[in-house]
Amino acid sequence: MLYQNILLIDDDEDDQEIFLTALETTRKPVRCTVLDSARKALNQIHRGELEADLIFLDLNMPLMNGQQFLAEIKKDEKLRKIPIIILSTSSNAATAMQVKQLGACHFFTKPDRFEDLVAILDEVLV
Amino acid sequence: MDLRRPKDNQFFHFIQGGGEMGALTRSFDWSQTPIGPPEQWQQSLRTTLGIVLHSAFPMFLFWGEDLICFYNDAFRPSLGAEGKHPALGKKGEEVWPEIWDFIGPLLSKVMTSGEPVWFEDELVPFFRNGRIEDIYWTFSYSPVYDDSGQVNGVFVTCTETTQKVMIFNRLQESERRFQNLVAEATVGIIVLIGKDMIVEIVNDAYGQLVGRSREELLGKPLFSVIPETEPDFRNVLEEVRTTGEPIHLSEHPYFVLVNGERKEGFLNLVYQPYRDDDGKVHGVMILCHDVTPQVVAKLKMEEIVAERTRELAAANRHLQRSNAELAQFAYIASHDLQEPVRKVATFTQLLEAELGGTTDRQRSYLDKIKNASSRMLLLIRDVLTFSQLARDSDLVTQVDLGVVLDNIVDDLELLIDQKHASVAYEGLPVVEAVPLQMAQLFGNLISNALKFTKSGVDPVITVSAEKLDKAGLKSYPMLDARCAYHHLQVSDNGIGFEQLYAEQIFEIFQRLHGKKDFEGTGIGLAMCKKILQNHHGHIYATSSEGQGATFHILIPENQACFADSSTI
Repeated sequence: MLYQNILLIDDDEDDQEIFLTALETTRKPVRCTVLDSARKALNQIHRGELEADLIFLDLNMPLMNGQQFLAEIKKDEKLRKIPIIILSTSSNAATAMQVKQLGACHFFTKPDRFEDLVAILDEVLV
Repeated sequence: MDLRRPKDNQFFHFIQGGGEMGALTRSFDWSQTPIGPPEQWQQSLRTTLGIVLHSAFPMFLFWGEDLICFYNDAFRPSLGAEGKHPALGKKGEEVWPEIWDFIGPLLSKVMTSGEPVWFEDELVPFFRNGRIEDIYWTFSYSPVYDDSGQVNGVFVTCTETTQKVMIFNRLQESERRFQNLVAEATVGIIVLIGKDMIVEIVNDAYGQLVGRSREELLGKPLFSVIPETEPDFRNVLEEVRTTGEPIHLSEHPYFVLVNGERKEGFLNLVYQPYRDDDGKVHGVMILCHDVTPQVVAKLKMEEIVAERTRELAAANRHLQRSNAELAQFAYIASHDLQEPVRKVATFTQLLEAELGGTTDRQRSYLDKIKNASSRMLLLIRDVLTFSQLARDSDLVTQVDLGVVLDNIVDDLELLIDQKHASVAYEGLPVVEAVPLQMAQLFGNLISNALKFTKSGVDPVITVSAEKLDKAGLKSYPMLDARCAYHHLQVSDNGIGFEQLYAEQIFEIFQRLHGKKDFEGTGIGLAMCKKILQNHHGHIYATSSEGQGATFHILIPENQACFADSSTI
């Protein structure tokens, strides 16, 4: 098993719920921490209060957006190895290219069909 | 021969030789005249006559009471042909009747007073060459004394100056005409002489330009009369006077002070060197043409054009801003709209799964929610894509449209197979474009062709291309004739549309069919139109109902051609 500690950063409660339901549906034995703020997440990771081996990251969030979080993580020698998957409402090609350059390993537009999200998780959490 | 000794005819020794007139004088029968035969002539007459006949200068002699006429060969031409000659031996009054009023009293005066008279270039018209001619003379009448010491004759030396006077008159006439020309010219003319620039000639037109009278200017140094013009014009005058090269100034501003008031305007000026008789430049002639009204009109026009240009630029900026704001609004609105709809769709699915068994009515409601939300999502995504067209436009590169079509056919493979469709294309060009937009353009057109098919007929879609030639280019006034364009045609054998709607179909949200028959958002072709606008091209469609449709794409080979334009 590759990933055990998943972190989801998304300020939208509904999307959190949908994500967790989809994760449940995959029946993968992983722990998932959910945070609604990128800043909070960054602080906790820096302080060592939080360990994650895979991060799902929303982009459009208040105070610190996904791109800023991504940039901060990639600055840190130890943290930059953590794979980060972008899960955003956006479908903009330019945005996708931008976050890839910032070091995200995948970019997914939040699918409107539930089973598509399950399929994404299945694929990522092999 | 010794001329000092008298020859055989001792009475005529004083008129020996003397040419034609000498011979005539000798052969004349003088005994019939009041002065009698030569042997009785007084010595003074003989001496004077000798001088007359032997002179090479035109001379005439009136002798005695009756003023009997003598003249020499030199005088002879002055009498012309068919005139008074031979007048020898005749009385003065008989020979010169037409001018006797003038010369008669003169002769009497000389005879009585003994004083000579002198006339220069005097008009004395008389009969010769068959008519009365205007003849000018310079002549003197001198008294001749007889042997008794009385004045008994008048000795005339004369020279005809008609030619000289004519030339002089012509010169004067031409001078007068020149003066008139200068005086009456509507162009200001002034001639300045010497280093001090003394006004020698000036006309009223010049006077009016500088607000001075001719009298104020004439004979004075120019800059003493209009000192305010010195800083601007002295150097030019100096240059022309010293170099001898003319100078032309166009629409040159000037001002003068007239009674303390500033009078200003614009002049076209010609400075010509003014030469004296030996060709040396000793002054400058200036021609000034007042072009103030023209220049003022021109300046005003330029100002209006500049003002209009500013207004246009401002309107343009405003338009660009509101366009950008609109695109931004569409982007944000559609982006944020997606989220709730996506959730409706997702939670409906979750609800459906959670419910397990459902009644038919429940099932139907759930389906309606799902359909409505997915259609909403489709609409929002298309609006989003449309609003993003302008944003991605800085990504132009060389795009092989053949490769674009390859990818589209790949993506649509499933649909193509389902519909038993064939998509044929070859010889498509490489153009400078935004790759994503080319994919959207042809993706939309091919999707449409696969969508609007005739039932029972296998769809056949062809894409062809040709370079637009000069004649073709002319038939599309919206294109820039300096650029190279490709003309692509996407044709199908589908349901087509009435040509009436050929323009309407490119408007956003315009649909020709019910959603039930053909799904779609009405954005696809609007997007195609926008993409061609972005690329300085053009798209239009031809069709007739049931006959398939052809979409014509005119796209420039290079975008560099439009470097000054801001769309891409």
